[in-house]
Amino acid sequence: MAVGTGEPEGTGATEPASSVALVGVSKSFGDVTAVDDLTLEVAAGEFMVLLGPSGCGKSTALRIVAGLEEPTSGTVRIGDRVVDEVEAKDRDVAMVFQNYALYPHLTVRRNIEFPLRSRGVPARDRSSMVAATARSLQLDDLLDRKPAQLSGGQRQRVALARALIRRPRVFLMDEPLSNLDARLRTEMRAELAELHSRLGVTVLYVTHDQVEAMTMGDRIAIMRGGVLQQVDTPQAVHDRPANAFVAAFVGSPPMNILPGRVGGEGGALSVEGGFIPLTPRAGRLLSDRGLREVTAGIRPEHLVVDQTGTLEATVSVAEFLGHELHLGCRLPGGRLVTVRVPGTGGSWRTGDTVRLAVVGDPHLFDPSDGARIDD
Amino acid sequence: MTDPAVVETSGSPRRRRHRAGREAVAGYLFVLPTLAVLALFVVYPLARTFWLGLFRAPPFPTLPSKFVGASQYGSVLSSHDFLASLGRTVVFVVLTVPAGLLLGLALAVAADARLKGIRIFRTIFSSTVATSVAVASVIFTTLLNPTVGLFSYWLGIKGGNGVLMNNTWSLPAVSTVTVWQNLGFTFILMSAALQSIPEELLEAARIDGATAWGRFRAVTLPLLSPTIFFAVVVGIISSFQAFGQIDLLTQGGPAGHTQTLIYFLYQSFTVNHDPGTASVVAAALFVILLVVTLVQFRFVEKRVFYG
Amino acid sequence: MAERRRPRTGPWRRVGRYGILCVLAVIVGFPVYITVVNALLTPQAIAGRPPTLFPVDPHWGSFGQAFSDFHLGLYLRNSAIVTLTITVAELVTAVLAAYAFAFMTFPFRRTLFLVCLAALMVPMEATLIPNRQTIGTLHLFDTFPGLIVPFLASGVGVFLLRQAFLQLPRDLRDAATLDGLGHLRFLVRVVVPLNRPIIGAFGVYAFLSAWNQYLWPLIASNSDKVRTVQIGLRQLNSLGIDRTNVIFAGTILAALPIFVLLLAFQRQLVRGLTAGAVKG
Ligand SMILES: Nc1ncnc2c1ncn2[C@@H]1O[C@H](COP(=O)(O)OP(=O)(O)O)[C@@H](O)[C@H]1O
Ligand SMILES: [Mg+2]
Repeated sequence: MAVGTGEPEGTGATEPASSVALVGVSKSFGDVTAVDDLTLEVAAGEFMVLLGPSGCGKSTALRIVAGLEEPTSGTVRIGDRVVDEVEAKDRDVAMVFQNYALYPHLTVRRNIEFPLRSRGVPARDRSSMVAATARSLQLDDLLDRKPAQLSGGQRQRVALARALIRRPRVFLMDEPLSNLDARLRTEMRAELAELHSRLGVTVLYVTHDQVEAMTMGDRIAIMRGGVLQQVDTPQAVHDRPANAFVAAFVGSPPMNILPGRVGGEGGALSVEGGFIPLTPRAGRLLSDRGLREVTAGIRPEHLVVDQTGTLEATVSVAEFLGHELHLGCRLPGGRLVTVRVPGTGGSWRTGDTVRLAVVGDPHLFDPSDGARIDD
Repeated sequence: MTDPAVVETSGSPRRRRHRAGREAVAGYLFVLPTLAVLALFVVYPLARTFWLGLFRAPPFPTLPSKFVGASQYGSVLSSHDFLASLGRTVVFVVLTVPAGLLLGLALAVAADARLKGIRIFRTIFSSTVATSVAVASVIFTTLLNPTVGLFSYWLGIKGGNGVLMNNTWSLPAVSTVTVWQNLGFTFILMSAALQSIPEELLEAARIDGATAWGRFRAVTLPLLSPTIFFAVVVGIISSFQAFGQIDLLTQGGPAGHTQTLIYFLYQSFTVNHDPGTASVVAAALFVILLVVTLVQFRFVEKRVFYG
Repeated sequence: MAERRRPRTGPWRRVGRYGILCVLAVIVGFPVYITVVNALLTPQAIAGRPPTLFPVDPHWGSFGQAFSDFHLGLYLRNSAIVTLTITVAELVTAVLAAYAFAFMTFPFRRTLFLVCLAALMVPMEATLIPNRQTIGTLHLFDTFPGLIVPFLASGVGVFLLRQAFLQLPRDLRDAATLDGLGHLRFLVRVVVPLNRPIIGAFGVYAFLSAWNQYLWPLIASNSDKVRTVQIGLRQLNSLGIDRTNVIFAGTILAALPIFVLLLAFQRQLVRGLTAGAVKG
């Protein structure tokens, strides 16, 4: 990674990266509330990922920051400036779209310089800025082609170049990689992350792909149904999910979720197919709250196949991925849990009966609202 | 940086409304030219046509016309002139639409082949789009002239009145010219539809052992049916509106035998100086064509939803 | 026309197909062919029996006479003025309105669009009489504006172009907004260039309709100074049987500009004529 050693992207004056803040932002379309009282701060230079399932309001939130959509209520700040009354073009943000949004009738060169033209940058400066930006994204040889003559990855680079050349204070990206095939997506992911650390710009990045979020984000903001669920580092979101939804959404393969009943002494949870032993700390958390029912979350890597295990299950599928094995096991009640077996070991067949042991405490969630039970 | 805007909390509704207002003003400016023209030359005159039908023309043009109410609608719509014109128009539609459609379809099918020089044939077949109604009519007026016309000679007519001034043959003659003049358009329409039939469908039928005629019936015709329907509707409408060929070939004659609704309207208005009667005919024409158009819309809707 | 691959047929079938095509071509093309032949004959030769079917001894003078005796040049000029003005105006008004209906929000947008749709269903004959009166009231009878003004806008154009504009991805509009393009610049720099095919098709369609107009110019004018060539042909038609060669030459000259234009814009013409059928 070329951190800080990269050549300058253009000759324009470098704007300092700006922080972005949404304060109590809501947006309704008719009776659909797309964004519900969203408060989110993105620090200057931070790579913030907005993660959530399709239709949860990510794009709407992003478009509100861009000024393409007016919030029903709430305030947006960029840097220390309230931009509610500022037109999109004057907010000094650039956006990269899922479908690239390149002008099909213009060459790559004209596409990249379009934002400069419409801002009245003189021709001489334009061509040197285009050259520099194109070089940094390896587009030099494609400048005279039309978008239709480019591959998906190349189009995405052009879209990036068009955003970069303006040297905006904030980059907004709406699922920019989702139209690429898997290989290219991995490549571009690394490239984007590198670009971010090289330029130190602020990025607000929307995706529904938790792998993208985990690998690229400095922090992740998870949304559901227009409501913000949790904002934290990928590590923290993974290790201490704020609720059952986040727990199930983040991580691959997804976390196993089991409804449980607190046993007599609070020392164990009885669940389908057996029980899960609890540490005294976990037992105290539950008894302090007087909960009898609880939702337990266990990551696949925290389940091991072991003769002394406390859960009984039947092997249903075994998916071998080369470096590890995912074992789908059915509990007696019919629920499927996933076990992640590192390495190449094991020779289970469908129908084998196995015992599973839980490593450490499970994640505990209040079944009434899904909230994490923690101290 | 201290920005005075920081003091403001959420955007004031007043300024937001201001922004929306600017867009609305721009939107109205964009649609204004179109709407002004349509209002002045379509909406208003349409209403006025119905209104004018309530007034009877004065015996002398200088006198004011007299309000007679709906009675003029009754008298005109039940008059012999109107009913005869309507009947002739229907005959004209029957003579022009099916024949034009079949010929256009035949040309399109014949030209739908991968042959050397097919472009020349396509150009000839579509060439009549370049001949306006007036051009076609002038050509045929001379070719059908009983004294010097080549077609009259071939038809064995020597002097006398010729087909255009013949009670029986004038309307078929005008219809023939109309069919010829429309061939280019129908051909282009049908050709485009034929070209859009996926080759795989015909291939599949070929593999199933269907004959050429079988393929045409089972694959081509059903896939062409929306276009055929469109051509029929457009054909009916344009036959109801056919004016130039009648004006140039027969002037409605002989003895009114080619006087269709539109020509009746024209003569009432210009020759008889009777805008009242003419307006009633115009209103009737409008209602008839509206029904035809609505039938088409209904059909198209069905095609969209169930097709 | 998008040429589609048809399988090649066997040699005998091909000969048969050529035979059919030639017969059809003769039937369809004969009136035009004989018009050209007759324009090159003398009136006596045209009337002569048996008829002359080939221009054995061409006389080109009839074309000159069409210009000198019959004011063909004037009629063509008038047609050009009227048709070009109508075409350009219709394009501009339709592009603007279609854009507004597709991309801008303003009160009563739907209602106003429905008005345009409804106007599309009103035949010109239904408004003929009041329009003639309006032109009279405005003192525009027998003037170019009188021939032009009623056709400055078209419901068809608005409808067709709006459909096309709506195909434009929303992202493109958003990208342009962020680039600082207002509506007018977005329209001129992005929407129009991207929709050139359909705009061209509508332009050819509008041109052809305007050029072929007959009833309105007949009613709204009465002197040669503004009369279009279609109405001019009406004069030509009554020229008498001793000038048949001039009649034929005149019709050829009247049709020629359109013929040349259509050869040049064949693709647009096909799209323009079939747009209604495909769109429904
Ligand atoms: N312009 C709009 N009009 C009406 N509803 C909309 C509009 N844009 C978004 N929505 C609705 O708002 C919700 C959130 O949409 P969006 O922000 O696009 O979600 P995401 O990007 O997370 O998939 C969805 O239910 C969507 O249908
Ligand atoms: Mg989205």
